[in-house]
Amino acid sequence: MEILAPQDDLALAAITEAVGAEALITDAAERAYHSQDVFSTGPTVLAVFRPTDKDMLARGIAAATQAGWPSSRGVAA
Amino acid sequence: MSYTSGYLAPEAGALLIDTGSMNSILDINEEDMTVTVESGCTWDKLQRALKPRGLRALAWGTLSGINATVGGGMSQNGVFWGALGGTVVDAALSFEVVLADGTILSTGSNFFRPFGPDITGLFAADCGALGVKATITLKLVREGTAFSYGSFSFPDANAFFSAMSAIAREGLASESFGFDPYLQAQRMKRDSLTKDAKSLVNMMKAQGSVLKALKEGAKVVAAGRSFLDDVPFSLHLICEGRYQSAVDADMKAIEAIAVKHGGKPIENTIPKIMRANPFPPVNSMVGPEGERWVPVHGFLPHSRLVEAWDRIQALFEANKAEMEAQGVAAGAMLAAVNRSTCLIEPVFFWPDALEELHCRSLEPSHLAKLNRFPANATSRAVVDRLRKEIVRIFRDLGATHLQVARTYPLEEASDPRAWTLLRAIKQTVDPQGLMNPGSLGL
Repeated sequence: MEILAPQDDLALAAITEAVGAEALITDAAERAYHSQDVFSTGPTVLAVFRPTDKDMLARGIAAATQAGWPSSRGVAA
Repeated sequence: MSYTSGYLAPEAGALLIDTGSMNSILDINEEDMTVTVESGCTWDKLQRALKPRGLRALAWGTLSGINATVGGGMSQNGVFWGALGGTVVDAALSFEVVLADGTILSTGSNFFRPFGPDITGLFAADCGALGVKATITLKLVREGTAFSYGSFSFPDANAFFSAMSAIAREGLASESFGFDPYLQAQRMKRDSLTKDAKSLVNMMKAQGSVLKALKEGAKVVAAGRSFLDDVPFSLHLICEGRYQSAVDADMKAIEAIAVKHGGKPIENTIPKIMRANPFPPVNSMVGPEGERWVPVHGFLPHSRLVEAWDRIQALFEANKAEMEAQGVAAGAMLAAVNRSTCLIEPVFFWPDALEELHCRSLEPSHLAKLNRFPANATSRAVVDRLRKEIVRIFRDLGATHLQVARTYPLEEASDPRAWTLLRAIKQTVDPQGLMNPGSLGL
């Protein structure tokens, strides 16, 4: 696992508090996998958020944007 | 799934949202003919729930629907099944969208659209730039109870396009798609006998009666695939309706148009098998030998199809030596969408390393049979350049696109006032520019 920059640590802590650790994937290999599409590989994401319902999705996005964290929409991977 | 960098963040450290666990079908309302799903529900799951009730969505998914989600379709847009009814977002009635501040916006009525300016339409095909869809309500229609299938061979692109356009203008086919000679040859290499057997059983089951199943099954087996040897362009069509006599009459009308434009009827195995197996494993996201694969596409009115085709072929001709030297090959899928528009989708194949994404998406048994090529930045750069040049050709001809994301030039194609309006909307729903930054060019 990569070492997170301090501001990333704060953002990750904020969203973890909002949605619970089970909804977040931070494993390095999984993050790399979720940073590719069929043609290109992009910069590696910090975490993958897998909400289980609408309210959790909303809580997670609110927590992330309040922490100033760019969220990138992902469709089924 | 994207091939236009739909969800690839511009900088490291983004949060990626995967709605795959939000995959419930929330309500099938047979009285009002609507269905509401969570955004991570796949097209395959939705179709399996609706089919036993004799229902389908107005446009009911892409061939990748085993993985592709309804939410992905609403954000990126797509087209294949039910194309006579338009692209997949044409089936949308309303969305619930989570905005950047975590509030949930409902786009409007769940049975009628538009009630005033079309807010559902605003979020449709937004590529995630305006928010994240949580739930989606779609229009339902009765699935057909009678089908007729037709396939035709055409000697050249002119004949092919004139026939496909003439058939589309009449609104005769629920789906109408074709392959250029190269892509057709690739398809023939791809399909394995075991896959055929499984697809054949599904096709036979779809025939309604045991007798018809045996008859159609025997026909497909007897036809084999030799009927596609030496076919230059092929066009495949499905008529979907209520009465066998009606869809058969429509297919007769299609045949008359095809023949008039130089087409020749061939065995209809391909549309018959595909309709019975609408969401096959996504093994075709790599080439038949394990090469990498990527499409690029444009929608055009009938009047500009041949010019676009000729310009793309001229581009390939001008780059022939380099493409051959780098092992880059190109084919094309072609399709009609509603009555006024057709799709040209060139696809590239080149020898290059498969990524984890491909390895996880393919069936393990298929992956095991493929060649594995080393990483090949040189060939890939040729593909990247040609793809961009095709986007320029499409731009010159005023084409439109699905999956705009980070690949197609929406701003350049837009009226400056319309673009200013879109930027103002982005500013309103996402003032800090945090939601999928760069998507749509915003």
